Amino acid sequence: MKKNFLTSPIFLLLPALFTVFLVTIWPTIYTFYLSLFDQNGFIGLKYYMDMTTDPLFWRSLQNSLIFISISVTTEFLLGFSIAMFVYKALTNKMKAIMKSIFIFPIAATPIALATGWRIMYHPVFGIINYFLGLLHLPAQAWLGSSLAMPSIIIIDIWQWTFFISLVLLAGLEKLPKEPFEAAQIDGATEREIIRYLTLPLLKNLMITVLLIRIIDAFKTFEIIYATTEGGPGFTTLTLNIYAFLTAFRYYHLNYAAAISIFLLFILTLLVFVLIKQMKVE
Amino acid sequence: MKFIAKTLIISILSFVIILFALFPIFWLLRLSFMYPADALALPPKIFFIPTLSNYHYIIYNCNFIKFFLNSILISIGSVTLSLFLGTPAAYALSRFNLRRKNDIQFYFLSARMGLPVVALIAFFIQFHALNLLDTYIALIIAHQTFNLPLVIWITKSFIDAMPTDIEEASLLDGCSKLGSLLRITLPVIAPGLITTAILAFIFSFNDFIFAAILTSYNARTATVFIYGFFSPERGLEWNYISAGAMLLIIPILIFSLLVQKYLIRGLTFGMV
Repeated sequence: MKKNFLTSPIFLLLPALFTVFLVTIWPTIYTFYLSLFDQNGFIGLKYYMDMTTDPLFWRSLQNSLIFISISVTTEFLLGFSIAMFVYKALTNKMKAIMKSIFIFPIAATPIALATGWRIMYHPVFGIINYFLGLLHLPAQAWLGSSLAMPSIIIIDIWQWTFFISLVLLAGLEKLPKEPFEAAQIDGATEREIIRYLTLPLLKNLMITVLLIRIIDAFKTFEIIYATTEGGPGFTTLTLNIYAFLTAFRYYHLNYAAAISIFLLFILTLLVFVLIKQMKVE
Repeated sequence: MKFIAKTLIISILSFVIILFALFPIFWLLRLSFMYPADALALPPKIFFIPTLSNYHYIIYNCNFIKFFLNSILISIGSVTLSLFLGTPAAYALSRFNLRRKNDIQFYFLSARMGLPVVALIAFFIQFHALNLLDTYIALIIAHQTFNLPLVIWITKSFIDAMPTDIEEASLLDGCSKLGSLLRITLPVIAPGLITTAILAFIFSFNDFIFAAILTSYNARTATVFIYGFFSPERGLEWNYISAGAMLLIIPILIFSLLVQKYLIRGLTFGMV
């Protein structure tokens, strides 16, 4: 009897179920609870109302949407092109080398990578401005207010384009060979094969990888925090960074709780809409 | 002729892609071997006298070993706890017909959506109340938010891939279910468990957001230490900053090359 209990599925699952509850659901409930209070007591949803008139909230929402849409779109287009190039044009040996190299920006410690970009973006001693100088172009303040957003988007693109390439490359290599052979025999052009065979066959994988990237782009933290800290002048303040700074720089934990719960809410909503869309198609 | 042109274009494109992927890391590596004057020289020096003094400085003058060791011990603690809790759950999900299996799997998967900052606000207050701020335990628990679901998903995929006949044969031979799990299943998936452990180690070691808030000095991790170099007065000490950064990047890159094939599976929670 005792032995059976030790291997019953409930006994095996319970510790993990409980721990996941303790580190994900419970903190969410607690943070939501915090958002309903200020120093003096219960205020209900007042902080959520305050957000609608908080210019920094709107600014960071806008920044988040710009950051996510531009970086994810570029990463996807570039990542797909690179995957197709590696799949079609390279020998098996080069393919293997490329796959190893692509791991580097994805796996290496983000905060350490951010130091590299900070150094390269330096207005006086940075290598990027040096190259611009060679091309007789004016030096730029890469992390200054007008270019900070494009600059952090470039870092994000560098970090995650190869992730999309690797996922799609894995997909391409798993595709069945027959339809492609048949299409070639029937005289289909390269363009037609991609349009009518490759893209439809990879569609689910593409939607999945986009979904993952959108979720992760909302959470982007290290590269922004370590290069611009949301500045200068709030130009790179995303919702995630805004919630973090409100909590841990200005110690306004209750309001930060409201912002972060709102962010989690739109993130969850977006994911459900996208998954539903996927199922409909 | 056409063949040569094609080869040339392919080579150039490959070179550009590799350059784009590796340049920032290469640049840090190069700076880490330079004397301060060379590091800031313009135009950048192609030839310079390399030095290990930056690494020496970081390792011996900055308490780096302490923070690095903190990172390693916290990561090992977090991975051990995740494996201990996650492997039985993965086994149950893979080998039993559970009534609400899909719901349970979705429950674990949805942790992938979780927002660190939401958890962090709650953790900060509760660990403060429990007097756990700046301890290993705080980070080991916090890292379960991403590592436990990861371990469950990846381990489950390894158990799924293992044929059931060996387990069934052992049961017929009079082995108990628990004995079969411990003596048959675990040894067979051991390489998979090691892969999972390395993956989880990478994510734990790379964490910055939890470590930045939940530790101050005693449990400070290497990532938080590196961030400390960004203060205005240290801003241009690129030779030191880059040596510190490389000391984090190199071990993680070695680990990630070991588990290359599974890194993408880990990042997509087995969806790909």
